[in-house]
Amino acid sequence: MRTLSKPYTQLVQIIFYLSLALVAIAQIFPLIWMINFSLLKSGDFFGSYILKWPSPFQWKNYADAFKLGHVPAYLLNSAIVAVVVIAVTVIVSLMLSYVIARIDWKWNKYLAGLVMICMIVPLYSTLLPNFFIFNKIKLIDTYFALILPNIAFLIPLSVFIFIGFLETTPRAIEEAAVIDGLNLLGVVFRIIIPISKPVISSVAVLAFLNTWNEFIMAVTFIRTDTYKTLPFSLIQFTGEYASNYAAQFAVMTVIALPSVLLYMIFTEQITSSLTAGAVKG
Amino acid sequence: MKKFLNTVTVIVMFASLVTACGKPDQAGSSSTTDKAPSATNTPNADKKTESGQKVEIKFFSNNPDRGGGQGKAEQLLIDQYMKENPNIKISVETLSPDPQFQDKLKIYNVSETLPDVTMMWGGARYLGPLVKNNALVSFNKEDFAGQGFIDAAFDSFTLNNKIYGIPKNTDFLVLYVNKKVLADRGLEPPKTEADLFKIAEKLKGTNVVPIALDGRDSWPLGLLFDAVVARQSGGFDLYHKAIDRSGSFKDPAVITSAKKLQDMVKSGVFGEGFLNLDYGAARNLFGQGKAAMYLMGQWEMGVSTDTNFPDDVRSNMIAIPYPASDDGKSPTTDLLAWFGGGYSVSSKSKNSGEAKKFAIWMFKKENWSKTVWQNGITFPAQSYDEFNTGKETQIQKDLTNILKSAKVFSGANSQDRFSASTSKGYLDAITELLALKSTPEKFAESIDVIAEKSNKELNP
Repeated sequence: MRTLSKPYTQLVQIIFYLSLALVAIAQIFPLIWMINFSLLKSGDFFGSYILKWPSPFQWKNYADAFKLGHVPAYLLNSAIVAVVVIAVTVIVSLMLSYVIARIDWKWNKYLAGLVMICMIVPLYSTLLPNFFIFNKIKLIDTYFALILPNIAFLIPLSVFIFIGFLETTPRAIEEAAVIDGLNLLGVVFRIIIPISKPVISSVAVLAFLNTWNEFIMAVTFIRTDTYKTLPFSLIQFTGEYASNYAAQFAVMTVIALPSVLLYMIFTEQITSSLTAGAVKG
Repeated sequence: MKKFLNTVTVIVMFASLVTACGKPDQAGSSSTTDKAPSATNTPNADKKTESGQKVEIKFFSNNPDRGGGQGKAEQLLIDQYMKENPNIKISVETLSPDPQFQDKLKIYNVSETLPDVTMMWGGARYLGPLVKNNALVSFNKEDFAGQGFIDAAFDSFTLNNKIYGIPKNTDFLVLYVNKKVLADRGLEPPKTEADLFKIAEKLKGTNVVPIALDGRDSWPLGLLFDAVVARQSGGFDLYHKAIDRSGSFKDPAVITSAKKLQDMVKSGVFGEGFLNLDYGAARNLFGQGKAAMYLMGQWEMGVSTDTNFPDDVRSNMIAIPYPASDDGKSPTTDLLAWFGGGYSVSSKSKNSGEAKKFAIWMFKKENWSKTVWQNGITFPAQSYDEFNTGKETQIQKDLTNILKSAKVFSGANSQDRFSASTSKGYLDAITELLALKSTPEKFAESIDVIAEKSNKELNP
């Protein structure tokens, strides 16, 4: 029996891996397609082939993206905004979550409710009021016009994730720390932050992806080149009627690379932290 | 009881948060009153300039590409003006595609922060909300005397007998033709609508599409509808009258036009799945030699110099007018031509006087007209004969002939005459018709209802 079942399980395994490979190809194909198009001439698009071998390779698209699409300058702006947003979001929401999850206080439930209610506010409904406020306090066309609303939209979700995690960690560690003489801030910074590293990294990645791809707020609140972020490089190549598709694909590749890399590095943390709250017990 | 009180407190807290967002609204409107005096102080601002004070003019354009096309023309003139007037700095903001540009324009309008000079479309649909808000300065025809403007060019920028924008282009609908693709199959460029069907018949089963058409954006379909209606009814009066309600879309000519359009779709004039082709896809289909013709405006004249396409396709391109009606009622000299784009000047900014001066300077014929024609960018709404260099492409020459020989001009196309809120429904109805999802009779009825609604909105 044993000798019979071995090839059988092998066959199952092969089928299993083959189907996984198919799924992987389906997932990776858009990326390959994007990179392929970024190396073609604009006129080659929408022909009868899905993929076409670039002959010759149009590296000029990348040169155009960098020079005409202002990729380096916009990349720097995106990075500045992303770094500040990630840092503030992580610190503020971690502290807020700690208060909600750990400190017994009569308004606690309502504070948690208030933060969660903010999750259902649609982005579009805030654009016009925010424009008025920012215009009044002269924040239009500054980094703050991007940083502040981005943080505001990320806090509820991050708090949600952090609370889920904190509820699974035992209180005993903190109690021990307090007995050893740590005050509240000490507990947060010396105990909670080190043990929440996986959740922090997943919140950070979420914040990064959100900020990196954010466009509608940038369009509304930013006027001049000085503060434009990466997605503006894309529309740099659309005219009233015509578009330089090849350069757009080159820009898209440049924009997508950091996200893909980050995802590959942190993918384990993200999945583990997102399910951390779910398997409580 | 305590629980109830707590809940009430939370609701109050939340409500106060929400209203906090509303407050700046009031602040915004009070700032208008602050600004109003400064707007009337423009002569004062002018004096400042004469004394050499720096003035910043904000310029809002829908052409992000400043190195080609109309963005290039704008930038060349802006740079020249700043050189001639060192005290003036023009800062450019660009946004595209157009829906985003229009959204931001709305935000600027309601927040009273419209940039000094802004790209603008003619027609009540775009101008109306801004004029209603007194956001735009008005011009006189004398401001542009001697600059060779075609008289009708200002029509779509005129509201309540005042001119609120300067037209920049003469736009008209044509067919770009790949002579070789047709000749190889023993065909000639179409002269009448019947020829279109013959070509479609001959090309059936081959991998060449008779006419490449951008069906995903509904506006080209709207232009096609206008052209077909003109041919069936013998001119452009029908849709003009139907929209201003001195006529009706229930006219039999509209039903025959709708039927003709569906016949075209059924006989494969636009190929399979043309409703899924977007602008670039349709253009590339023609540029790669996979379509015999391409229906688009004169602004695509650069297609024959686009090095992304193979040489033998580019060297065989010509432009012809939309084919005449079979019965000769509407010849090719009835041209669907309009003056769509232009620029307006904000009346509420503190530099609006300087901005108006710049806008008028920009449209001296040796500035805009010469720049766009000699760079092969577009057809100005002004005369450009004196700027011919002899290096014009075949397509440029063909287009010039089409425009010169036209006897009847349509003026604003139908979609631009609808109100802002009804134009989408109108274009959706046309798309539905071309997707064969409605009958010609139902279609005529539904757009007539939309026209009635639009008319009520535009003339309350």
